[in-house]
Amino acid sequence: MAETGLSEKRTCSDQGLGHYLPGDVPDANKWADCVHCGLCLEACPTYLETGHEHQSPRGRVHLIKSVAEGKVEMDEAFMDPVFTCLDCRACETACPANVQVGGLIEEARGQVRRAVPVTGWRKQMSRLFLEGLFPHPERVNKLGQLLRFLKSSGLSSFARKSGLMKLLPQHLNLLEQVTPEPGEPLRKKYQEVIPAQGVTRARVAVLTGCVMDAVFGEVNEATVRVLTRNGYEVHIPQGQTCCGALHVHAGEREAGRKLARRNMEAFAEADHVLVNAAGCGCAMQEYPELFKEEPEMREQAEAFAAKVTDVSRFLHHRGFEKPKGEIRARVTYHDACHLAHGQGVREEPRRLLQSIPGVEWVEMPEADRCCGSAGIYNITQPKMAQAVLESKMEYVPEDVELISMGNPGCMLQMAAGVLQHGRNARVVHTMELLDRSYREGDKKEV
Amino acid sequence: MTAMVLDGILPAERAVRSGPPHPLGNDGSWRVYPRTEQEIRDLLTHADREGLQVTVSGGGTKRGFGGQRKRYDLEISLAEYKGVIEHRAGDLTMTVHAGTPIRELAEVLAAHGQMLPADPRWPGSATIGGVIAANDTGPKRLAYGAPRDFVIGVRAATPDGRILRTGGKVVKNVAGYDMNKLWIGSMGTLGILLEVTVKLRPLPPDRGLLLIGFPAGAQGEIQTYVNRLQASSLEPVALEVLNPSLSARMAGWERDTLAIAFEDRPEAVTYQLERAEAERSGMTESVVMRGREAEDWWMRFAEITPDATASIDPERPLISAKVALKNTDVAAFVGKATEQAVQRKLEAFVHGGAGHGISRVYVRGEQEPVLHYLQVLRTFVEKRRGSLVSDQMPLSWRKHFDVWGYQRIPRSLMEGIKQSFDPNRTLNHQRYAGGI
Amino acid sequence: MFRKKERHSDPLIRKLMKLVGKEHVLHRQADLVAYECDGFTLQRGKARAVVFPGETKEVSAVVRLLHRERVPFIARGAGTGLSGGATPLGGEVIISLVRMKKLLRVDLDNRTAVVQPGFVNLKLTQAISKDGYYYAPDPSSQYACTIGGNVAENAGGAHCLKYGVTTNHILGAEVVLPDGEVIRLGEDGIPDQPGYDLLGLITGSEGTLGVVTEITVRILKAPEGKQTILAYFDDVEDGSRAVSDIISAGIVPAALEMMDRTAIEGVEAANFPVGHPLDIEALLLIEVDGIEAGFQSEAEDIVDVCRKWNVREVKVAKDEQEAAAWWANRKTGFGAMGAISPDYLVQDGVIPRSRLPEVLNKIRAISQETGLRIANIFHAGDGNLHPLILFDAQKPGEKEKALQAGSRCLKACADAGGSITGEHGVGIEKKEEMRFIFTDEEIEAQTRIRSVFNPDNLLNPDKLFPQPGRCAEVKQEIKEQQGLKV
Ligand SMILES: Cc1cc2nc3c(=O)[nH]c(=O)nc-3n(C[C@H](O)[C@H](O)[C@H](O)COP(=O)(O)OP(=O)(O)OC[C@H]3O[C@@H](n4cnc5c(N)ncnc54)[C@H](O)[C@@H]3O)c2cc1C
Ligand code: SF4
Ligand code: SF4
Repeated sequence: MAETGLSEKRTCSDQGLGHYLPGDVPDANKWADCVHCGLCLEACPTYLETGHEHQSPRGRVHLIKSVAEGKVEMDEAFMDPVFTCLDCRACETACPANVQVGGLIEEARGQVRRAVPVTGWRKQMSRLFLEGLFPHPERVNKLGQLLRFLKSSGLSSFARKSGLMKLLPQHLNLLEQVTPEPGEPLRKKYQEVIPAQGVTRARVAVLTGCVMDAVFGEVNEATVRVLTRNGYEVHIPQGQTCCGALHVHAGEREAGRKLARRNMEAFAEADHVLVNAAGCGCAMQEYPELFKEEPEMREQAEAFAAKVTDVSRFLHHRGFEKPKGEIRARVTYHDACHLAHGQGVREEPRRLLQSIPGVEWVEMPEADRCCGSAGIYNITQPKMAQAVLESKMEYVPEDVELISMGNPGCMLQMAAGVLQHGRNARVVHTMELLDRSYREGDKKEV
Repeated sequence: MTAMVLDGILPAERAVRSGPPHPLGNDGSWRVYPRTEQEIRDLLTHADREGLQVTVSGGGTKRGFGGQRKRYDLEISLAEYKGVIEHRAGDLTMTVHAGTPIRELAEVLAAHGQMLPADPRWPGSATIGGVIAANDTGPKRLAYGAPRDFVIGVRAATPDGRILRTGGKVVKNVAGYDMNKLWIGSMGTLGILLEVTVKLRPLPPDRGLLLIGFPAGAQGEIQTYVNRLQASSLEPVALEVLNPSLSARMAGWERDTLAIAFEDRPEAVTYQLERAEAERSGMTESVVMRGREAEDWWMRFAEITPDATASIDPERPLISAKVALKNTDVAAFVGKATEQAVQRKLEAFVHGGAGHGISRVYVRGEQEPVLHYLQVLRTFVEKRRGSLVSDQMPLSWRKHFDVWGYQRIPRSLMEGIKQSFDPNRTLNHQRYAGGI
Repeated sequence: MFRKKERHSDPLIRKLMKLVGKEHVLHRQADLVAYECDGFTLQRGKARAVVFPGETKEVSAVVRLLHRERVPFIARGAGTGLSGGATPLGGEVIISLVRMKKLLRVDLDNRTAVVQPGFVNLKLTQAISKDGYYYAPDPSSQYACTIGGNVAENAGGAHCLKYGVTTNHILGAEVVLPDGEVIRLGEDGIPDQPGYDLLGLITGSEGTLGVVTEITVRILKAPEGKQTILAYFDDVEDGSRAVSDIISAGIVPAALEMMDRTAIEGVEAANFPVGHPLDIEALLLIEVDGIEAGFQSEAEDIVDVCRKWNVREVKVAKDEQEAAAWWANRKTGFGAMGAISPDYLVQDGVIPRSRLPEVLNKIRAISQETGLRIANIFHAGDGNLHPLILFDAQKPGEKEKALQAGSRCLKACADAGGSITGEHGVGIEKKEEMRFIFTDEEIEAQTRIRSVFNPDNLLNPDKLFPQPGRCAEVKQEIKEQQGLKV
């Protein structure tokens, strides 16, 4: 946002605004940037599915503003569009005026959560996920187990009562089927510091993430191997916890703040905080947003956010050893929303992958279109998630063998899509492929 | 209507009592030659008030186009309401009186290196107002468009004495309805065009013409060639198919001919001529013309037949028709029209734009076979959702042939529009589609 | 998503639901708020409901119902219009066409495509570009706006200098008249259908003559190549002179766009910066296309013309990416103003190209007098100006000042022999300004035509034309008061 001197930007208020509750009110500056041009409409997956203006970025911003103007109540009709947002940030890429739609939505959700406490199955669900699960690494160690548990637990009867049963089990079933065999969580397997191979170029800290570590332990291992092989000493701070993205997305901003504080502490020593899960990276870069009203914390959060980088960007920018092992496959790449739209990481992973010998590159049309995973969205909004996934699958090239990406949520969702559509492609993380190529190369040399 | 009345409006020497009715119809008992807007307006309001029927003419080249009435009371000729009002060379726009002949206009423009983006027939006598009212277009419509594309403003007089401006003087304008469109092709049924503002183009630096002669009856091959050319990135300004009898006159061979024009910078014209040449098959022959020669060829093309002001052979009058089809049906239509003419031993010149969809048929013969011929063609055309409109035919024949053909536009809308301009049906009554 | 079953108290809504299905009718306050305006935000109103028909038959049925019940209604595409055409004034039912978004047919040999009205402009070119074709009208909003909306507004774009605006590319349409009758104009895209040119009349009628439910458009073969040229000037007048000279040199560029200093500040601060220097007074973005052999030498001539007019720097795009970046920067120019100002009002005047320097000076004077910054982004080639008036609606009185400044810019255009709108339409925004260029009689001639199609004025009422017989100043005041209420 350039300063023009033309208008003073409005400052955050401690008071409620319109129908908002006092404190952590959606930022007026953010919606003031919106000029209502509509250029974001076609980027928005939920607008594409529904055609409804209030399910579009422009409509959502307008609604959020209308509550502030006192024209609309914070009721169910307001909640609906605010919670069907995938938080995919595609609108932010499209928006010429730099409107931070994602941030506004999260703030609005925070308001809604405070104004309209969750009840019914949604509450059970969000409790389970947000309070019971994600802050506790030990509990998330296998999503498959979790899903099985979900099905057999009382939860499904909530779902049945609300008519959700028709959709939910199918989707969960799918997710379960695509959940890989549990690897060993990184935090258990490695010690806190893993030395670099050869000369140490720098020290980096790695966020292991909850889903990533529990479900895609392989990916974390691959990430560590790739980093150490490139001369980095990898630290895995034991005090780290869930990044809080899911909480913030769900409007549980207080919980989000708690987790943020813990992580900032855990990573205090690190110069570089590397992340291989797009959603986590993005959320951590946005910690400052959580502390708008605490200037001191905000400053700290800003300093912290500046250290957070996606591992693919880090490697690409600092130069990486060219992988030598051949992977003969037709490979395409899916842009995770929180990499492409959230962090502007698009080219880096592609360059890494294209450097692998034998890779036949197939660019996916609309590669940065959301797959519908969006954190736990595919569980809380299964109908929309499924519709978005369906649209996404239309763009996945028919004859690829590997679909690479940089986010665990997307990996699960895309794998579900692949399974549903009977495709032969395998879903992989960018780091896995890079790691595989390095290892193949080593074998040859030996 | 007397000379005295008209005398009050304009000098007696510009009001002429007509002789016997013209065989093509569409003349008036009196013909007047107004020179000012006021005169036109007065004539029109006088007629409207007195219940007189009025027709309008420019160069008289469309006298045989439509109309059921034996004669109107008054023919307002715009032949003396002519000349350039304003040429804004830097803006590439020009405002002219409606009675200005196309060629006069072209000459003024050429001196500035500009042109009217249109190549209507009989440019020497056809006026800009008439070309717009009759929506007359030539082969280069493919690149330069039709009157609906180049008219940006009109000043017109309606029978109830209003002077209406539609559009403006600028090339882009969406203020209010695009009322300009109503004048185009409306055959003077809504008002008298007084002034017209048109969009211009720079004269092309160079021109090239490639005539390809195909073996007679090879319509399929022509179409294939056209499709190939159209799928390439060449930018022809005309892609006109000529039947063998027309070719005999225009190209000196009795074959089906494709006339392909390019207008661009010299190096681009050369390149395109070469590529178009290279695409043709061995069964064809070709001629290439450049610059002046190419231009002269098109000038001759614009006057394939004499216009309606020429004397008429009452036994075997010249009949013409305009046909609109999908581009890909044009070559087939030219073939069909030729074959049908040969069968009936009629002499017919037929050509059509394989890139813009408009074809023309000129046929000479006796009433019965000619009307039957046109009917057969119309059936062919309407089956393909197109239209056939006869734009020249003696009045007596028009009683036996609906020159406008099947009407798809709801009559209520047509009537409503006419009503809102000319409630008393003073202007060119019954001359237009649907008897408007 | 999981709502209690509700039986709506408004019987009209029940009937609409019956016609198009329950899920395709919006009626809750919060859902309707999003429809209270289009891209022109200064005036807003509340719709009674929004319906989403899925096919022509449903449109016709809905229209018939509304016609029978005497309920006013409005067609709406993407709602990117900039004059309030799709904005309800109060109580209208909005017929949104976004569900009708299919590309129905493409006929490459005949160079036509048939689309439903909700089909997004850019999607057409995307769908046919693999075969080397494209759809020429390219409004800057083409990422989102619908072809139905384009037809209604007769949208233009950067490339209409050479290729013409929407009306030059529409060959046929299916239209639901305001009483529900369905008519087809220009069968199969065949030109010159005998009878008045209703297709031409409906194009640009801002949704007041009928609801367009299917459109046949002309598609073009992509040119053999193109060249994009960027020129920076230290003086706006030099830039304007260069524009005139390019045209006088007999070149018809595919596009010829200009931005002034304030506009450049905006685009560089926004989401698609390309590194334009911030201290230049004007930039020209010029594209020539066609046959390689021809446009290469045209590009050279253009560079020479720019040099003649003291260009600071002129460069030819080195590749497609660079050209695309320049274009993205230009095309998102309006929205970019959000980055340097909380609100903006975009105006849309047209002038004869040769009057450019003079009118730009007048606009500068208006800016100084009102104290509001005005950025200019415009289609210089065809004299279509877009003064962007920057203001802050939160500051008391600024919105009114902006409206006034906008109106004065239009007056300046009209006085120079131009028009009050080149592509955005009149809508509710410029109704009064219609008087700058038309007499009461000429306006009445147009409302008579409206009555032919729309006798009860149920379709998009109170748009496009000023109230008859009232003095313009009075109306201006009313407008300002309405502005205040927002
Ligand atoms: C950032 C930005 C840039 C723009 N750039 C340009 C530009 O370069 N050139 C340009 O010309 N415009 C431009 N516009 C204006 C706008 O995008 C166009 O007017 C566009 O044609 C509107 O299309 P829409 O689908 O959004 O229509 P809407 O805004 O939904 O509707 C516009 C009007 O059309 C009517 N309408 C819509 N659909 C139909 C239908 N099917 N049948 C009948 N009536 C209908 C509505 O009632 C309304 O009156 C721009 C707008 C923005 C926000
Ligand atoms: S974040 Fe995604 S779903 Fe939400 S408004 Fe933006 S584009 Fe739509
Ligand atoms: S693109 Fe940006 S400015 Fe435009 S409507 Fe969407 S959020 Fe608002």
